[in-house]
Amino acid sequence: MDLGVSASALVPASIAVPLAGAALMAGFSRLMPRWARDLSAIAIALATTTMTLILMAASAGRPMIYWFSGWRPSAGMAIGIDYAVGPLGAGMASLAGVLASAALVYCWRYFDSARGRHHALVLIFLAGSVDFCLTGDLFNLFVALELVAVTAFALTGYNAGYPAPLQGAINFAVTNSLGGMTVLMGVGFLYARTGSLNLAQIGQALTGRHADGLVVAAFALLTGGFLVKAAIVPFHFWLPDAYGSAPIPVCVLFAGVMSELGLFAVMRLWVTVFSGLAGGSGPRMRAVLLGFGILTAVVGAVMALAQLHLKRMLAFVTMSHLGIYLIGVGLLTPLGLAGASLLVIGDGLAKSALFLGVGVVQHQRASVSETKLRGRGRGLAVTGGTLVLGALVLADLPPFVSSAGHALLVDAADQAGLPWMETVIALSVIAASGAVLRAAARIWLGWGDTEISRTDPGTADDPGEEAEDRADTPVAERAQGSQEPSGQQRRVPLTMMLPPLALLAIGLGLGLTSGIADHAAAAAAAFSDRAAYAMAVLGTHSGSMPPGGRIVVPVSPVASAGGVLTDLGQVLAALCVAGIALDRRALRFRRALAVGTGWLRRLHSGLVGDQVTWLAAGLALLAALGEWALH
Amino acid sequence: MSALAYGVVAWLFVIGIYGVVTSRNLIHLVVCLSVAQSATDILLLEIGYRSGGHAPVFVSLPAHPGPAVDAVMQALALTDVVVGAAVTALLLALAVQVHKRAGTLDPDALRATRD
Repeated sequence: MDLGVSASALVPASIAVPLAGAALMAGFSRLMPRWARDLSAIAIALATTTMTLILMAASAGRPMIYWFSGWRPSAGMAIGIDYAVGPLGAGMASLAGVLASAALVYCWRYFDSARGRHHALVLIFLAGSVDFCLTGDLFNLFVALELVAVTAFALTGYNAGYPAPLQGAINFAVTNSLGGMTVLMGVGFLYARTGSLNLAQIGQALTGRHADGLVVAAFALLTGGFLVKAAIVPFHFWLPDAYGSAPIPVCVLFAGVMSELGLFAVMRLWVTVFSGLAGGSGPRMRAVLLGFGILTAVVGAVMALAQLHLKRMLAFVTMSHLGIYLIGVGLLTPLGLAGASLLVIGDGLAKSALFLGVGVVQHQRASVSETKLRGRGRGLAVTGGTLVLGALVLADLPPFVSSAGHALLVDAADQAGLPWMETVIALSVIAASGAVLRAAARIWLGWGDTEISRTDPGTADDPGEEAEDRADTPVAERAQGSQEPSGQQRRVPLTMMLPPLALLAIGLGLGLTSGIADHAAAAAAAFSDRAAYAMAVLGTHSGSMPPGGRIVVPVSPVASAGGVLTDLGQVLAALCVAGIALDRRALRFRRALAVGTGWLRRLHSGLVGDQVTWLAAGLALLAALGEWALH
Repeated sequence: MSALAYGVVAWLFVIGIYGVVTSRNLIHLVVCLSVAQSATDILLLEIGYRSGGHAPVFVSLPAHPGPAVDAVMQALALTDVVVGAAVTALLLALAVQVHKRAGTLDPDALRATRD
């Protein structure tokens, strides 16, 4: 209780501190020496992480509600704007904090002269993410979405002197701005129907009512807009362009947090707003979300295998995993949500470690093309180990935390009567991890053919050119100019080597924490408890709330043992995929596969007009499906 | 009045997206995006509009002021205008960079420089 009272001051502080820090960074960075800039940015990010971690612990029993300026609801009517902090949201926020800290440490030597503006943008991104996770107000959610989005556009185009970042930033900005507009229209529609912007209040107003056209339109516009952010097929086309061209530290933030925020918002809206509609059918909505999830998981995995450009490959790996998270949350059960949350944490840490490892390779070898780097991994053994370990963690290597998440997810699918879902998830995970392992084997072991690059049809979608490997740093240009053939080029700075290892270690530590699955299940149950949320927000005074909503979902030990075996099987299968992808004897098979998926790669044309067309088509599809599921 | 406003909203949004899809010039594309955005603003204002309502300024009112239009929606629209300005400025800055780099404003030309 005491913890709860003192912690409530941390709710606004966890957003205000990074925002104020960003303002200071932007304003006074010229007056500060380089080390002071870097250190203060890292300190602010770490402080934010700490605050959100405390919030996660303090809100474990029941949601913590904070009303701006003390404008509490009167007689069950929300007047002011609130933060409604639950352990799941605070956990997402602290993941953002951890990744931002790692990215800032990495920047220390990555950019030759990290200007204050970069740090300011990263801190605003962090503040927006935390705001997004904690808010209980629909319009505040939109503002946080745009805050994250606009800083992300700017960070993507940070190296604006090169064509790829320009294209990536433009595609990203145009598609996501349209997504933001549809979200705002949805906000307007919900306000028109319910007269409120408070999520709990909107939910109360819609409870027991039948969905009319306006509510269905609001659902399609809101969900569609957030799915753009979450890069779900067919809203995903901007993602490889943006991730493939953004600076590496920025990719870390994108892959670990940004897209997951979109899914978080979809779930937040479903639980608090749309699930209470009368006649709305949970099973139908589940079918819709699972369909999108499966499609995204499979498309992402297939496209990842087709990439030779390492950052684009990781972008598609990220996308495939987003599909898997959508499968988890789309089951619409607390257990599925718990599994997805643990996967978001575990995979987010691993993906970030992979991006950081690729950044080391780019920094040292001035290329991110798998074929150009073939056999050039010597001297970067630690980074090679990081990449392999990261890929294995993505394949749910026990005892990392993603393995626990996978077990929960499989349990949830079984309980929902969808045992075949495990196979879909396993195949996507295996293909995605296999792609990364193939790249690692080619770079560090020199496996695979040498004459591959021009003839292999697998590169059709793939720029894979040195033009793409824009030099983030003068170091890369220097390395390219002097063309040192082999041996000791430059030592990898420790600030670039350690962050990925630290992230993997956090994943391992969380995986070894006893009862992590129970904690996740409790957090997910609290998140899914619609009535408790509404009561905590709208109740006349939060002090007398009964401490309900702490449902611990039992996880059977038998399932866990089976889960470990499945996970090990996935890891082995991913290694096999990597082997097959490089084996000379399987060339014919790969050709057939490449021809069979050519149409899919051609769809990823990178043209902004095509991307917006797909977005509009996706919105129409979502509206039709929403009508079917809600009406 | 109301039907007309919603018609304008739908028209602006659709024509804006059509413009973005078919655009061959980045400046044109950014302006089309702003057109689609203005549809959002009009929608918000229309949702908050009350026929015969006065402006939501609540100082020195007459004795029977009558209804006011909804200030909340106007605040939302104002915020959206700010967001739109930020995005437009950013995109135009990127367009300038594209022109410096590629000598053209064709959005498809960037794709060509990659291959």
